[in-house]
Amino acid sequence: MKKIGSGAVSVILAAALLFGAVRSDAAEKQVLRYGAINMRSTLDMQFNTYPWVMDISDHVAEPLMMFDYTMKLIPVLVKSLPTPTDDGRVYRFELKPGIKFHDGTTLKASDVKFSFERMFIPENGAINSYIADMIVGAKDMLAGKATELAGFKIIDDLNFEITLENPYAPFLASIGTSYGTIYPEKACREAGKDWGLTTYFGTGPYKITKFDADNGFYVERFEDYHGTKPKLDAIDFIFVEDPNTRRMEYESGNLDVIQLDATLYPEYSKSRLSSEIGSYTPQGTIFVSPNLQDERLGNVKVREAISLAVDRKVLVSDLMNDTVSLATTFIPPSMLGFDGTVPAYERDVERAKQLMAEAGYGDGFEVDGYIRSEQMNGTPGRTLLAIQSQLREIGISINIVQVDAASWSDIRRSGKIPLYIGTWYTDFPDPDGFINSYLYSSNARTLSNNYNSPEFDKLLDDARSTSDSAKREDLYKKADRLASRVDFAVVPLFHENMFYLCKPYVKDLHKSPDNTFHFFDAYIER
Amino acid sequence: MASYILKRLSQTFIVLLGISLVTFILMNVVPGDPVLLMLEKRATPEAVERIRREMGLDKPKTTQYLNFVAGAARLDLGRSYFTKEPVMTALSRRFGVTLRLASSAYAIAMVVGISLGVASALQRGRVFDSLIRGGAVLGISAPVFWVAIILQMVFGLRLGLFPISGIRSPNSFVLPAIALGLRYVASISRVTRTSMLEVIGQDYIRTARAKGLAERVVILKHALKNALIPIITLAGTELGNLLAGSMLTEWVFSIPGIGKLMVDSILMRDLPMLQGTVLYVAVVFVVSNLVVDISYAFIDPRIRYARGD
Repeated sequence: MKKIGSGAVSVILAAALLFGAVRSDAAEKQVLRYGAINMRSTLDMQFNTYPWVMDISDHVAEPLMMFDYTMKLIPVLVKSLPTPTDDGRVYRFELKPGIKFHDGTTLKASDVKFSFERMFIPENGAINSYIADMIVGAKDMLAGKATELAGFKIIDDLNFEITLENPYAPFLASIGTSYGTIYPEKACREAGKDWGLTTYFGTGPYKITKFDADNGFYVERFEDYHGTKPKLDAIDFIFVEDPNTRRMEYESGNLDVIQLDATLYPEYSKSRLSSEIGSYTPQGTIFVSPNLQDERLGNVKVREAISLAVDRKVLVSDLMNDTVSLATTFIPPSMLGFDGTVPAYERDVERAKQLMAEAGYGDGFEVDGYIRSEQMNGTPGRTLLAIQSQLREIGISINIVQVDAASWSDIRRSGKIPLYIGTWYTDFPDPDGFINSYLYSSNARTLSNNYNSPEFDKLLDDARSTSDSAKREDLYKKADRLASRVDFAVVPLFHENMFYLCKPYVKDLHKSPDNTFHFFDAYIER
Repeated sequence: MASYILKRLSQTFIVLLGISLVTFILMNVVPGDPVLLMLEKRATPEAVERIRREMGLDKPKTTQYLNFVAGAARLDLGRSYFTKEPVMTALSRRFGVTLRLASSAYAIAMVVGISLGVASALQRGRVFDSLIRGGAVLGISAPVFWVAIILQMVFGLRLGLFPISGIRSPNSFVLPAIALGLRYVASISRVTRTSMLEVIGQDYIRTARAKGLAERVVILKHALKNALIPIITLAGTELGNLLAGSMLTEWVFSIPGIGKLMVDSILMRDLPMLQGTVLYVAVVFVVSNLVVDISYAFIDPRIRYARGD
């Protein structure tokens, strides 16, 4: 037996020596190793919506302008942010001269036109064309009635003009997202459907030098980058699917940065790794979403009763371990339109019972609360369980129904979900990409919420078309107050904080509220 | 034999057709629309209709299925709804990874499993036998992800002998192969032990020993060879299981194999990719069963396949 035992150990040691542990060359070069998740998606940002893919794409290819980690819109490929004409419809852009793509070709206005038109060609099936479909001619292209974008006029190689159908104040913010990334026309055409699958580049500070869609991407500094040169020599995006494995890889020193599940924060905040925890506040809100077409939940008194019965302080302190902040409205604090003067929601169970009685539901009722099965152990699932317990006090009994993600999309769109815990994050840092995309009547209909208030819709329509920032802010404040404090179309609960682990030798790493990492300024100091 | 193989292969096509039809029907019956998943919060009616048209989902179901069959006949399984990657490309790339993992795990399972099974049978009733039998029960019962995590913690995190995850270095497959192979070691050792015990009680083994043959020759040449039939049956099935991919092992060790591809395809309702992975698994099982059946004839000359078998 001793022989067998020692033999096994010898075999293991011999195998380890034979193959040798592969060590990264991170010590010599400035290489940041980031534990990413493989979304099994193309890198082409016209065909996916994943922040994990944006983390890679944003460092390789760029839109005309983009948000920095403080959520300030900055010009990237253009000299400055254009102001629209007086009628708010025409924007004139000027590209910075001499910007190179990674293949050495120079960026021209025709590349920009190509990138925009590409998202409106019906056969392409781009899923993010909404960011620019307000450009004149976009809808005709999507309908197959035109092959060119009428509202895009090339003046010369560096100058072009975009005309919108109607004034749309957040236009620059909308096309300043990753979905508005500019691609090289020639290379993109040549790659065809393989663009983003086997080849992908743009004008970004890093170029992909190892393209491995299954295991990760290795990007190296692009020496001809038009902007400030990044300090890191390379970023190694290493796909590690399992959060537990990711944590072990981080602890063993094989990864420098990983995302940390919020539910693990309490454990980590007391561990030796507590000093390595970074946090950020994404622009989003966690809320109860009642279906206003449900006979019972369609009654505003019932919805207000729900709001009064929910103990938000308990959710924040006991459930979320004080890692979140109380919501007072639907729009989150860092976004235009947030009204800091609105007081906290009150909790008054007796008043809630009285409202239930007035609505004719003094004896309470049962309702199905849906949840995606993979979210059951996360924040939405834990919140739903807590709400289930709290609403029992006013006679509302929630039956929890778990469904998989695909079924969830289907059922929610059909309008059949009576109640769920909403987790809504902005498409782009503007209230139009947040409150509009959830509560505007045509959107709320597809999300099993069915809020339909002409007054609310009008406020949002007006806010969309005015370029006066102060006026816009006021309109959004009014709309938010109407939806979340008067009509209780949603019952806001809290705003989440999210966490990541970062080795102490990694400096100037930023995670932005849009949920993406900014490695542009990062460097390693051992 | 040749006609038997031809007949089995022709049956395979009918099996594949049936499996693809069942998969197609199931995926169209269960709730979940890939277009809605793809568009997420921006699933306006116009956008949904446009993407459905681009993906060919606006066509009648029969047309969709016949198009798939026609494509499959040309070895074109279409493109993934989500990655837009050709299914055959994804499958062939992932097959390479699964094959490496499966063959490593299989080698461990066969070598260690048969060795332990033979040793256990020879030590029947002794402490070593009890240990092996106990270990086998533990090996079969232990969840693969639990074994995987223990291996990662001990040999990866604590001792630093092997990579914790990924397939970037040559020794990356050591821990996943052990984690995956362990349960097969357990089952193969149990079957080997039982089969060996049956054989070593036979008269011809006593005769071999009476002839003065060395114990090594008696065990390896006479006993083990005759005990192989049930082992091969099990080994064939296990090979099919291994090649079909192991979602849990692949997930824990971040190995981009077939198992995870299949589960992702189901969750995302990625029908072309799912059809591809399901057909792949079907082919693997049909072929592995065929290989097992053929190998019987080589191991036991009394077994011959005639027309109509």
